Order: sequence, then structure tokens, then C-alpha cells
Amino acid sequence: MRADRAPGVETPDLELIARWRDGDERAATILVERHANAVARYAASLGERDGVDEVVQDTFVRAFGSLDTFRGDSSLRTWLFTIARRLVLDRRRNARRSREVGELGEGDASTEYDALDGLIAREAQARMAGALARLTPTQREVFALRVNDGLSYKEIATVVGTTEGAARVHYHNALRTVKEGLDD
Amino acid sequence: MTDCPNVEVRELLPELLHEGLDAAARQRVERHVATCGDCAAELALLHDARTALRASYRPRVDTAAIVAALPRPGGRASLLRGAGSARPRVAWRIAAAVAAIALGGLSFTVARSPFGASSGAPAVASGGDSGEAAAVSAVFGETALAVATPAPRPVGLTAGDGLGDLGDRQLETLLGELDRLEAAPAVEPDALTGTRLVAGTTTGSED
Repeated sequence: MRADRAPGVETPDLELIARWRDGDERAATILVERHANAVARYAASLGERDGVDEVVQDTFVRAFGSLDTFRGDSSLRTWLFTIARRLVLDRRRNARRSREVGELGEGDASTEYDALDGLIAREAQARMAGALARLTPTQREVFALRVNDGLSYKEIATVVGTTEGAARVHYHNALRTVKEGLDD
Repeated sequence: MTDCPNVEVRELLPELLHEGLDAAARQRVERHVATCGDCAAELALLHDARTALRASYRPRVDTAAIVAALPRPGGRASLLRGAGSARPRVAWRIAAAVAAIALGGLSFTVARSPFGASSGAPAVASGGDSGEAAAVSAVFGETALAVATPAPRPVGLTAGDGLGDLGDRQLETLLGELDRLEAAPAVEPDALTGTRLVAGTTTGSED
């Protein structure tokens, strides 16, 4: 097995993918450890609740099963988010439960942040939670991808399935809404 | 809370938050933030928003379980041995469909060659023959047999006995199978293997 880089220097995802293709299974562990939490948070931000673990595992299984098709044009995390989003949408279509809806984003905001209220102690964080709850589902998704995960507008557009310009507009609309919510 | 008119710097605040700027850009943005109350407030807001978003869900991911479920590395065959029984079956159905199309084209070519015309030369194996149909079905499954079933021949064309050009219905069946592969990144079928297998079986059974 090749030596890892110096401490504090991350091995790039593409290099780890190449190592895994060559038979280094430890590279897969590093990739999963690096991205699984973010994929889980993203799935949860889309309103997925009980099935987050399953979505995360399915995302990585599908991703590793088709790494031949990953060209590296976008980041690996963007690609994983795209797969996870599609899986969550499929689960929604198949679920047919009264508390869930067929499409992403309808009625999820209040459900998610009701749970948030139980976790947040400080008043400032509670006010922020209330401001975030005012976002539309699309604004929340774009805002979270930008602020929580640091994705560029181009990457957000790839994940959400929109244009770079639309992603920028959604982000700034969300930011304005949050500011207005905090000013109230 | 007001917005700083420096749009370029405002667009870089999320990157600053995630330490995604190179040294020169980071210094430039930090210098601006140090002197701009609006940008300092916006950066603090983004920091608090990230904290709140991450507090809403604390993942407890079982990394070992995920890694154990991954396909083994080292080549297409191992990639096909992934978690779940659907992937190998799906890959074989794709291969069967591609092979059926290739077989249809081969049959048409043979029929139109000097050796495949009305001289009675044996035709390429077709789905119309019950024995060969059973063999095709056993190897490739129902999908291949369905698309290999002779379609009504277009007027004016001569095709191999049993297997003619695929009609619209057969093509729709094939495309329907492919369309049902939802949320599954494309897995390249081992089309060459399927084709060689069919060609070997076919030529061996002509007599």
C-alpha cells in the first residue's frame, strides 16, 4: 500500500479512487469517512428521517459500483449528493405514507425545525433556527449546500438540477430572508 | 442588517467560512471584513447558520457497515458483484438486449448475403424455433426472448428466418427495461462477452 501523505494533508479524492480501483480497500474507508456525515446531513436536510442510514449506504454502494462513470468534472461530494438526492426522491415516490409527500420540499421546513427546537439551548441559535424555518424548501436546500457544505453555485446547480444563475438567486433570496428573520 | 455593495467580496464569504480560498484571496477578503461592518455581520450570520444547520441533525454513520457493503475493487466483474441481487441481473438484461439487437442485425446481414438468400442455407438461430428459443431464454432470460421474437416483417425486406428487424414494439420493450433503471448510475454491460457468446452459439447451431 502506498504511503499516505504527511499529517494534515488530505489525499485527494481522485487519488483515493484510483487506489481503490487498484485494490486498496482502505482507500474506500477513507472516502466513506470523509463524506458519509455530509451525505447524511444532506439527506436529513431534504426531510429524510428514519431512512438516512439506508440512503447513505445506498449512495455509497451505487457510487462505488459506478466509479467508472465518474469523470471528476465535479467534486466527488457533489456527485454523492446528486445520487443521494435522487435516492431520496425515489423513496418519496415509493413511500406513499400520509406524513410524506411525493416531491421534495413540501411541508418539510416546520417538521425539521420542530426537532431543532429541542436541541438548541441558546436563544441566538433558536432565533437563527426560526429565521431558517422561513425559507422555502428550495431556498433551504441551496442555502444549506452553500453555507453548510461550501459548494459552489455550479456544484449546487448540478446537485439540485438547476442552473448556476438560479442557484445564485436562490442563495441570495435565502440570505435576505434569514437576515429579515433575525431583524424581526 | 444591510448588504455591503462589494458583491465580489460578499460572494467569497462562504468560501472564507469553509477555508476554501487561496492565501492571496483569503488575505484580501479578511482585510475587507476587518473594515466592513456589513460583511463582518454577514460572515457571523453565515457561521451561526452553519452551526444551526449542523445542530439540526447529528449524523451517526456506521462507516464500517457502509464499507462492508461496497463492491470489491479491481475490475468490472468485481464491480458487478455489488450489494443486492438486482445489479448482476440488470447488467445481464442489458447485455441480453444488446446481444439481441446485434443478433437481429447479424441475421439481417446473413439473409441478405449470397449465402443467406432463398438457397435454403441455414438461417441464424432465431427465437421462432422452439428449441433454440428455449436455449436463448435459458441463457439470456425473458427479455432477450421477447425482443428476439420475430416481428412482422416490413414490406419489401428480407430478413433471417425467425429473427427479423426489431419492430417498434420490441424496441419499446427494450427501452422500457432500460428506463426502469431508476437512480442507478449506468453500469456498462459486458457487451463483447454477450456478443461473442451469442455468435458462438449461433454459428454452432446453424446446422
